[in-house]
Amino acid sequence: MSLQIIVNGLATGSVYALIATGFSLIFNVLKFSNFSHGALMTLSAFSGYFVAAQSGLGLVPTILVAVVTGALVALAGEFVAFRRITLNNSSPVYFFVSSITLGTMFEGIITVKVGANFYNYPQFFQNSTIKFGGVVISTSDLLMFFCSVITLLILAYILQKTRQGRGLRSVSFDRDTASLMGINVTRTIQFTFIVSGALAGLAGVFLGINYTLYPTLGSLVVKGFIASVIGGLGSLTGAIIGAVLLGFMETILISLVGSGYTPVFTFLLMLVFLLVRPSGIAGSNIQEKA
Amino acid sequence: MAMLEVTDLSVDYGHVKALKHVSVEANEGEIVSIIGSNGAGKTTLLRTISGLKKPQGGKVRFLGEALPSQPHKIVARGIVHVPEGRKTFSGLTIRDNLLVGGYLFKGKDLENDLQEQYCQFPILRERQDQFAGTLSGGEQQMLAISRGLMARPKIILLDEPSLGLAPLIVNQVYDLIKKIRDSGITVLLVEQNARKALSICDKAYVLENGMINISGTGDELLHSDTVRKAYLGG
Repeated sequence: MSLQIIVNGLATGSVYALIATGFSLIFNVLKFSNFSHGALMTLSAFSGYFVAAQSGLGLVPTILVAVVTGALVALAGEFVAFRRITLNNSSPVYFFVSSITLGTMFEGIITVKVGANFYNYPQFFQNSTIKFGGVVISTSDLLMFFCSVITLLILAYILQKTRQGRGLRSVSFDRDTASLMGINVTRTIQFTFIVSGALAGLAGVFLGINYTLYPTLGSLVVKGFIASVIGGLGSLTGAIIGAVLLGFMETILISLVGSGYTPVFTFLLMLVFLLVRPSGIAGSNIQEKA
Repeated sequence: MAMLEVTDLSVDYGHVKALKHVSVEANEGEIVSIIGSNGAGKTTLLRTISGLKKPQGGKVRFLGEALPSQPHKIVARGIVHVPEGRKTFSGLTIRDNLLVGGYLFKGKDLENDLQEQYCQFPILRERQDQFAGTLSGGEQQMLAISRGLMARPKIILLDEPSLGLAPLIVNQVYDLIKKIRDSGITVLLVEQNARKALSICDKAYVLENGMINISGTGDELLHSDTVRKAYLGG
């Protein structure tokens, strides 16, 4: 495997990891696949574009606007679309319907605003590539990789070491029992949505830089979904491993069979995993004892 | 005035009445047992006191005051419920389980409480970095109670702490319950294991089909004919 492929695979994988963890966080806590996550990425990426990038404010403000938008919209979405269902302990079907509806609405809003056109983020970097030995790395790839790694490290720290993180993990295991420990379950769920939304915003900007901005950009959330299935739904470590694997695989496949057939193989991979090891790579092996 | 006063409590699950006008009292420093068969409403009573279930009628007062409606606020008042079936967080480490128990406390307080629990349960210290799911049933019960103590209860509600445990372990759990009482924490104990529960309690209630049928001191109930026939095997 050439160094170039490793570098490209890592860069792609790191963005998929952002998508997959944002998606998995919600799955972890509320046990449903949040299908509005993709549209939220698009919405945040566009708000970054219109508020900051268009007026020439540069990359950092663009990311900030997108991240904040993602977090706030996710928070509002939780209140509108999921709060009552959560409190009533309703069947997961309602969550699916609600999240699909919410996602469709986001997409609708974007389409109304921007039409079916393609938008490009301005060129954020003076040198679009950096040569490093024999390897050519695009500056945006490098930035994505480091931003993602740092973000995920911070997330891991919050989840593993802080009080808020412990609260989130216990709520994801057993909401009732967590509330008996003095944890405000509603606040914890809100916190989860804020984090997930912020991750969606960051991933949205990176996708927008990598590809172009268009109203259905969010369909790339499928990559995050595949990554979390490969890694093991609900496991954050699994989601990250799955995302990096997927990134590598895509890069290799693109050089072997071209970008046309690559999605065929990645979906095949997901189906194989669902067939052979539905619990994914990290698949929980902790047995509950009576 | 009793520390915990449950007055005229009625709770429904849809059309099923789980509790009908139940009144129970616990004084500070007592062990109060509630015995009854499966489905009598024991767990519902505890879930209502801790706020997980909303009552249709009646009230719960603690230290002379009405309780807030959300569970996490009730815990902050000093009522801690250790649920049936332990419900430890199996994918969290033992240490994290205990820290979650002490969620309302921070910094040095939390660390001191943790060390105190480790002193009382050396096995938890030894295995603090393992997942709670790897503990045996008895150890998980100890962890669940210890996690409850981390919340600094004034009264602790224990739901079937002997469920599914070997007799030797049951004795350990009951020794622990006495120790908890001796440390000044009031205990409200719900049990199917009537003989055990009656032998250590100051006061007991028999719950049958959602109603309190008999009440008295532990000794009185141990020697009552009705209780013996129905719950102690003759």
